[in-house]
Amino acid sequence: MHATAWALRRAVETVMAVFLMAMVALTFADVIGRRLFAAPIYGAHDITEHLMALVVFCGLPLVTAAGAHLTIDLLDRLVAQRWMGWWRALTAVLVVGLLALLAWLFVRHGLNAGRISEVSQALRVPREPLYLFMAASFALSTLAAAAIALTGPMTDPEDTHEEDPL
Amino acid sequence: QNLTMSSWVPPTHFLHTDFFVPFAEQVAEVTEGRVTVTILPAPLGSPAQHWELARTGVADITWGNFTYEPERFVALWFAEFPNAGTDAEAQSVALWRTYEAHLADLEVFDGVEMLAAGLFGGGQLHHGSAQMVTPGDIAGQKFRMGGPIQERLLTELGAVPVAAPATRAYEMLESGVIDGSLHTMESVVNFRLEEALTHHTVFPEGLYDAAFFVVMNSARWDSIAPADQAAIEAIVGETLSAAWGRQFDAQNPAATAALAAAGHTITEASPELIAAVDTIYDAMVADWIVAAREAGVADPETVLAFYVETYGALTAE
Amino acid sequence: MIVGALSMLAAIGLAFLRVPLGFALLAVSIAGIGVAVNWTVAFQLLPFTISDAVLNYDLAVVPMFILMGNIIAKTGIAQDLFRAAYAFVGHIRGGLALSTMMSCAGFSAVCGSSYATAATMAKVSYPSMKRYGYSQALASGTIAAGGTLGILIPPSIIMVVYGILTQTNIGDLFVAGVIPGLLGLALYLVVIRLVAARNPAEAPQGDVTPWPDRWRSLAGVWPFLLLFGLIIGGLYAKLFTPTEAAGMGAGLALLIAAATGRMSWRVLRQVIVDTAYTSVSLYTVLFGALMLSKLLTLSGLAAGVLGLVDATGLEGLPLILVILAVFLVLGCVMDSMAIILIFVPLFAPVVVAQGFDLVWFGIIVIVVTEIALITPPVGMNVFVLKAVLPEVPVARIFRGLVPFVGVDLVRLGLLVVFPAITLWLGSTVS
Ligand code: NA
Ligand code: NA
Repeated sequence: MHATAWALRRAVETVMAVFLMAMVALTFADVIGRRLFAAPIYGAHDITEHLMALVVFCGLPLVTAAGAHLTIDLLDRLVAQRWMGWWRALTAVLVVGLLALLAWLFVRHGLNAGRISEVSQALRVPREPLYLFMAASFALSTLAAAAIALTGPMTDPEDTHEEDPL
Repeated sequence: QNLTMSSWVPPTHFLHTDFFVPFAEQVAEVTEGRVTVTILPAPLGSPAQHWELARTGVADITWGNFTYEPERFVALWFAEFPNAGTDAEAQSVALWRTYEAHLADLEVFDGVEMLAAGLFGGGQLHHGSAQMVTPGDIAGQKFRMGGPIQERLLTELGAVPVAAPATRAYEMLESGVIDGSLHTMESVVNFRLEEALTHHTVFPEGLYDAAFFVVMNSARWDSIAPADQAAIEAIVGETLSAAWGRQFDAQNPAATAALAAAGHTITEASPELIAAVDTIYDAMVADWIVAAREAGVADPETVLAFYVETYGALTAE
Repeated sequence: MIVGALSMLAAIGLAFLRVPLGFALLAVSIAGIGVAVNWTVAFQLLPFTISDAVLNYDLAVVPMFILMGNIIAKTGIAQDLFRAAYAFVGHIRGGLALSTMMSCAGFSAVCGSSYATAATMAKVSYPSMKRYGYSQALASGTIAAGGTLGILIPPSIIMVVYGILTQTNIGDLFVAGVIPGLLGLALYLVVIRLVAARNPAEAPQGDVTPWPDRWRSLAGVWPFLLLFGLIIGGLYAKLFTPTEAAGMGAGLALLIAAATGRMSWRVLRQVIVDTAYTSVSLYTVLFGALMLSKLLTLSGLAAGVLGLVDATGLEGLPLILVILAVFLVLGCVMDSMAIILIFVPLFAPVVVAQGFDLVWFGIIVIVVTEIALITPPVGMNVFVLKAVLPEVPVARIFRGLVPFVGVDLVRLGLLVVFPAITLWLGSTVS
């Protein structure tokens, strides 16, 4: 079970990394193409936006599973005390509940996008599949948040990542 | 009863000061203060989301452009084709009457009460460094544009379309992402593009157009007392659409004069260029008739003919 | 309006009690809109807001700038910068601290985050300062203060967020940050010299580097010059848009790392994955902040604050000073990103209504949040440093920071009184 979770996490990380690199490569190629060959890539902005959405929503379950959401840890010591257990439980319920709500709202949002023929501006890519993908990501994140509330965050034993966000 | 309105132009834009604010005041006036409209200080979503914001009741009243959602309002595409006219008031009234007579029952307009429809008096072609007079001038040039109709127009003229909102035009012109941009004369001035766009090519019947709506959530409309509904009905519909058009009829000539005074080159499109656009127009209409029929418009030819006739009759007056 | 105000308090309360910031903001905004308007609107608005934010081209700069900073930090290129600075000024009194400060500024030019700047420079320069017997207070204070330049010298993630929230041109903000950033560097260098002169024992001299070695060390500086020149030069000359600058920067950083033989597949994967994690957690927070700003709009709090300001009769500079005082107090206890996310949408309309420039205001607010990063009790840069240097007591770092906070206040005053410091460079473009 644990091993499967890790294999899955590594696989999704790779996919996410590929999307992010594609974004950089696309921007690079677009600028070079436009500057040197007067040939911009039609819909480059559109593709960048889609790639960004894919990166963020591939990553959301991973970040949730790793317990790596941005937190203000000023009162860590207070919240970590034993008698604050009820509060930690409440926080977990809040996060799980919010993610589940978002999953549900994005299913509706996706189906509605299909009904109203919502498409992207330049390349007219249908938005329904993207929104449903986002719904799936929220659903997975709901599971991840619920799981780590019980087992603790899924941190890498040989983790060299420093979370130096922002 | 207070209605919230979400608007996505800054409070300094003429549509805000000269159209939406007076509209809000009028609603309060004709209902003797029983119904008021509050324009929110910031928009609740992107411009393209504004129809849905009203339909789903997030805001009570919104406005926007029909083709910001590129594949949704097929029935109205004809209004954005070339040769839709340059008299915005006549255009807007003709569009409103066409909507009322032929399109209001379509499912795609369900869930909202249409308060006004409008066009903007003809979009034109603007360039940063060269005069675009013949089809040969345009070939290979990169133009910022929005929407499927402008994209097709540019592509078939041999230009390179770059999709982006008008608000990005300035930085894109400066950074060389584009050589020119499609705008009304008014929006060259109102988006402060005078420095970046110095050459203007005018099509007497308009190169393209943009169709706008002002809508209100249906449920919210139904919740208004019948007497107040009747009072509001007197100031919306054709009246409000005409008022929309008048804004652009005031802005466009003033902008043209200002640009000319600033030493810009303003020329009419050559007959060859107009002929090239007309050829594309004919093909667009033929394709639209098929697409509109699929989208549920029973007789697209009649719809277009009705618009053209109404516009012609109004401008002849 | 009351709902709006209570919601903001609730958001801050929840965030302090360790609810992840993004979820605290989301929960409070949904509840606030539910109560102030109705629940249908709250639930409808949520997917609209999130999908609009995630499909925003301007926001795509964020991961690309983070990637660029990560590449430079994790491939040892930052080390070269410090070595070069040391070769030139290491031997004078306070020289190691001076070199640290200069490399902080240099690293800031390729990194959009203050935390990353402080953490990277701590690893690069603290060991040398320790070896030469620098006082812990001066050594750590220098790094913590130097790190704050990360968000002022472009690129800057906080500027991107500010630009998105206030609809200010991000390229203009970047260009406006250059001179205030250099002013900050100059003042910090003066402080180090003064501290070293007053208490020579705190800042022993380093070794003299022979001139040939000095010239050779300069080879380590070119990646920074190249990247900074590309990004800021490109934005200044309007060669590309901020997102394109970020893409070019990240791409070029990769090429530099690969060309200098410092990029293995393992490192590459780790750098990219780290970047993605950081970006995702930032996006989650942004979703919350954007919902909160919709609550401010819908609940009438935004309009209420405008009315309140009108009622007090405060105008012009005194009003700005009051706003800055509020931000400085908030800055003592709040994270800089949280301040920007929660309070800028509230005060920006007031600033605009008074006819002030939002680019200028943005730079001022960012300088305030720089101070917030190094003031007790919550100084995030100090905590970042503490994590990298466990042996240094937090109180000692804060003590070392006192003179730096002092000149920061001087700089803030200069920027408020002379808007030209901020706006001049941008005005020379066309
Ligand atoms: Na920076
Ligand atoms: Na602080």
